[in-house]
Amino acid sequence: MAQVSSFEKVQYQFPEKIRVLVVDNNPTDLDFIKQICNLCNYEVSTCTESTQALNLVLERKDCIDLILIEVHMPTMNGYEFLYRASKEIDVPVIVMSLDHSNYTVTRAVQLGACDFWVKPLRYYQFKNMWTHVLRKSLKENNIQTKDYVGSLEDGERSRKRGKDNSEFGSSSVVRDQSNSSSKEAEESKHRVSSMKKPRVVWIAELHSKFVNAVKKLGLHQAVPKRIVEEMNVPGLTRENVASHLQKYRDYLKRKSEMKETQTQEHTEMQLPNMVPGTTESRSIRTLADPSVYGAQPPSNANVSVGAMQQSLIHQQMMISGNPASSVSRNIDYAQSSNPNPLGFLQIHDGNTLNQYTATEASISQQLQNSSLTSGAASSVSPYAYGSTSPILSLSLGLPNTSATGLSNQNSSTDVVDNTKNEDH
Amino acid sequence: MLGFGADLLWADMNRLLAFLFHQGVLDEQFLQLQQLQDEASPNFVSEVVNIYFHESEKLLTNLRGLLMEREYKKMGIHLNQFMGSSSSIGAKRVTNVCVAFRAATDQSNRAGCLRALEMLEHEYCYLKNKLHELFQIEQQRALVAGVRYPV
Repeated sequence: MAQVSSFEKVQYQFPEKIRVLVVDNNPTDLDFIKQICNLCNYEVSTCTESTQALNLVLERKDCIDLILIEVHMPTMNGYEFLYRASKEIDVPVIVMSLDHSNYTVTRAVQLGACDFWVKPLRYYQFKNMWTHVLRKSLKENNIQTKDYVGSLEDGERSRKRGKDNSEFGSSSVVRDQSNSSSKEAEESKHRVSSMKKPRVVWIAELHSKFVNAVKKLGLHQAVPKRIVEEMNVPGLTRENVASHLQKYRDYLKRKSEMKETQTQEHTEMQLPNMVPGTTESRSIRTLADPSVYGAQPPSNANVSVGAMQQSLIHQQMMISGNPASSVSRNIDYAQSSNPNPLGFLQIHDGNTLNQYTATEASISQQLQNSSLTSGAASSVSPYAYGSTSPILSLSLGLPNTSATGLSNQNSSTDVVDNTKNEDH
Repeated sequence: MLGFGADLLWADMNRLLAFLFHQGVLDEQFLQLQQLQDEASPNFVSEVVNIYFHESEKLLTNLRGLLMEREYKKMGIHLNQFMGSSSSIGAKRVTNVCVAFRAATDQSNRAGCLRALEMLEHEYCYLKNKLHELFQIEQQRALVAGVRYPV
């Protein structure tokens, strides 16, 4: 029972009165942000310099719930602040900038930013930013739906936690969490880490075992449960195998269809699934394995368009992120002796979805704006996917600086047009 | 009678705004600013815009100085700031000129920078005048509306 009430308490704490620190050397932006934060009823403090902000944050570690910081600043830029701050404190940091090139966004995420906002900023972003604080506190409190049907033991532990939570006054959940005794803090940390799903790295050996198991069972009879049994690898769960199997099946399908068609056709890319928030687009996101699954851009493909094909290509487009520069590697699953691509195969856990939700509106926008024809994959500017797959570029190690260049070009033509139309 | 005046002023204001949107001087970001202004924050727009004016004038002066000294990199940094603030208040044309200007500084193109700076100054002046006009109408409207209440 205490468990339920602590969850409710968490809910009702927000979004009022979260303490936000805004760091931006641009006074106009700073004022703009400050005013909006006041409108949203947050407690806002502002700094024009990162050094100032860093001192503030380090001095009193529990006084801030959320940090908003601009990337490009003269004395100490956002990256450096992020790097230093993330070492010392555990506060969600949202990075913002006019510059939203792949490289910038990737770098920010790499350094630990929990979100990236492109300027000019909109009201709705501020309206929702407390969710970052909420998420963090939920994680710390270890409150999940699972817990409601959890074991007696779990219930006991959470009940104990609930007692501490009930000591809240008007203070926020986050603050009290960090004030709680060290014993509790350790316990919660331990639980958080054990709650996180460990990543399964499908190295060559593991994958070859998988392929053998599948072959033995027959592709159509291969169910994850039996594959796990066949593989007999300790610690490998049915879920790991299930997702890997899905990818494998998709790969095989793609391969067989590529072999069938000979001619390269121009196709109009339908993007039916790019509705933000739909399950399908989310699952595509989790298939965003950079190095292996998506590495072959359809420009090489002699592909005919079928509905399945479209969504596969669509996945590839989503995945490749920088199709122009992706290497066309021949990933041959049949031969497990190909260590390179499989070496850095990873299954991302649910946390990557956070990046996606932040940018999905812009993704759907951009993808809808660009009509993609096959063979045009290489001509699709990387900028079109500018907001997608920061994780991707990360893994590929691709800084993409052409983005701003492109936008510059577009805008300068606008200027020319405007001057022609001026009539004042 | 007083109510009538207020309505006229309101129509004037809307006409001016529509004109500015049509010309691309302002965009939806400015509209958002206006929408966020209400009884809770009655001076939202004017506060932000005044800070913008103040900063922009400094930036423009700096830019001219830097151009004379051919400090292209520093100009780029200033321009980033100018771009950021202009886009935050919805000054679309000014932002666009900044972008072109920035491209010129990237290429260290002195003639291009000179042209762009002039264009920037021109656009900025125009924006400033129009926004002042807008605020004047606002103020008048507030006055007219305000007089109504005690009666």
